[in-house]
Amino acid sequence: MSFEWLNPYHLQVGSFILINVLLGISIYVTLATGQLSLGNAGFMSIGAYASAILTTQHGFSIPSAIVIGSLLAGVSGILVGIPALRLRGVYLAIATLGFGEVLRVVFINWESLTGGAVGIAAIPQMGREILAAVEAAGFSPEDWGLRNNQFISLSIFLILAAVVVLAILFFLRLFSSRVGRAYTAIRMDETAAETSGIDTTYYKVLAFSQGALLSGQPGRFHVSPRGGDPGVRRLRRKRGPLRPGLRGDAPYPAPRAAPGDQRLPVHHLRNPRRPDDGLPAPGTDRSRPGRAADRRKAAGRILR
Amino acid sequence: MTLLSLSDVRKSFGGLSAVDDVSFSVNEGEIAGLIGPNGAGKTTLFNIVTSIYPPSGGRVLFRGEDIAGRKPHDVTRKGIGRTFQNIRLFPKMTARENVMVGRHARSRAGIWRSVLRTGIQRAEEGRIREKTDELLAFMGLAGYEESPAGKMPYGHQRRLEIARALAAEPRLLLLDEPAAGMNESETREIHRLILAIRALGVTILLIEHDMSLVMSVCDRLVVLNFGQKIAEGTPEEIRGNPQVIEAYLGKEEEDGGDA
Repeated sequence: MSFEWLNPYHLQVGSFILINVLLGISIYVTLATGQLSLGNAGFMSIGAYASAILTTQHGFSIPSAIVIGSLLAGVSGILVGIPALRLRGVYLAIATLGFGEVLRVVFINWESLTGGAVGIAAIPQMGREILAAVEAAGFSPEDWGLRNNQFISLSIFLILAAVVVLAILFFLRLFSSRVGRAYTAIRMDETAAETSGIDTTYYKVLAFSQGALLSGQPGRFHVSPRGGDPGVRRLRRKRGPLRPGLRGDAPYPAPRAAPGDQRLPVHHLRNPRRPDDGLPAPGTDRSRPGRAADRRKAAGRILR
Repeated sequence: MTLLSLSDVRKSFGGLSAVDDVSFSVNEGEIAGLIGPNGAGKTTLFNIVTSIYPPSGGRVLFRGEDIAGRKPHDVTRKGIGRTFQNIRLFPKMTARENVMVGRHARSRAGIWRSVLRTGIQRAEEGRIREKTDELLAFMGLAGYEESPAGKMPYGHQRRLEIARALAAEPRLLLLDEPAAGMNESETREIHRLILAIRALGVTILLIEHDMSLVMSVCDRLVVLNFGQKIAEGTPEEIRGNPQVIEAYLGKEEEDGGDA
């Protein structure tokens, strides 16, 4: 059976869509308690940097690094969620946006840890590791009619798809339970929820850390499919995750993802077979030319 | 037996003293009324008893236990339920879901049980649902289980809020103007329900401006004016109390000045 039609590039685009679906869910979970957190890009970067550093410098395997990275993001979600209890509505949004900004600046400047704008080099790629494992087990992608690069992209895509399905199932079940009713009650009337016997502090922090934990996960995947530098990616991803969460039916949008939400550079859509030479297509980079060029040179493998 | 006792409870907001050294107690099984003109501090007192506001001074004992420093949800768990003067339902939830939320303090399922749908969790959900439908029927709301709370008629919303409070199985139920804005027949229905709730073994403390309801349903009344308790006694005693009459109607002055 041949899978010649399976285009690795399309699979990568699909993977990025799934990553953004996860981010959309992560915003939605926190929003389910009425808290609009715009700091999820920050939590994503914690997950991404933590797992990248753990695999490159401390010899962790990729799966364990992902788990630790997202747990770390979840814990930082608790740390941010507790002071955030004092803030409501737009003020919470401002504070969490600021938190993400602070993290970005920290990661860019903490060069000894993150490599600054240069980023972290030679991050093990999950797809390649899987390929190596499969080959070590005595199989070859060709047995299934796949080329190596197809297999790499497909494995990442399928893992992400599984994570997305699990996340959606998890929250569907959670939302239709006692915990979910507590979330909704808090969103609709916090005082009434509290007098109905709901520990609003606990559930608000819980939702906050669940959102953070969930956004910490795709952080690692976002690094993995391509390798490369998490730092510069984060810069560009800043407002990305907001869109799936915010564009839906306000004020309580359902998570969703559409190609338009993906911030796909225009040239990728226009010319899907364009070889990934690591350089942005002309006219897609709106930042200052000097800095952008420096960054490109430095990171080497910038996506767009 | 004393269920709730307030001693020298004070609450001031900046320079304004909303509740000033108020002491009274509510006995188990009775229907007590809290009355007084607008701004007398009745709702503030409710907010202190449910720990939404910490008192500026004095003590609130519920079943002999000081509620100072407890969170409102904890007070609910201890057995004090309440409704609000301006109805505070969860408007986009159905009537049933509203009451199910009220059951929160009496159920336990956490994240993992909820997600894994364990046998314990499903059994618990079943019990919550059963209790909820029972309460809705008790409050005369059978058939409205699936209606969004915000779209229900006003009188039904009032009763739904009481059902939600009852779902937490309170020993003491605080009703903040349950008959406000209701017509005569709806008020009669509330009257009947208050007596039925008491028959369930729930003690009731009631704020109400509808004097015919208060006088007929309450065993004992406490009257507040400008944050102070000015009278306490049976409805008959209160009816004839000159200070109460003065608080409500003003004082007759000899020179015929402003009443």
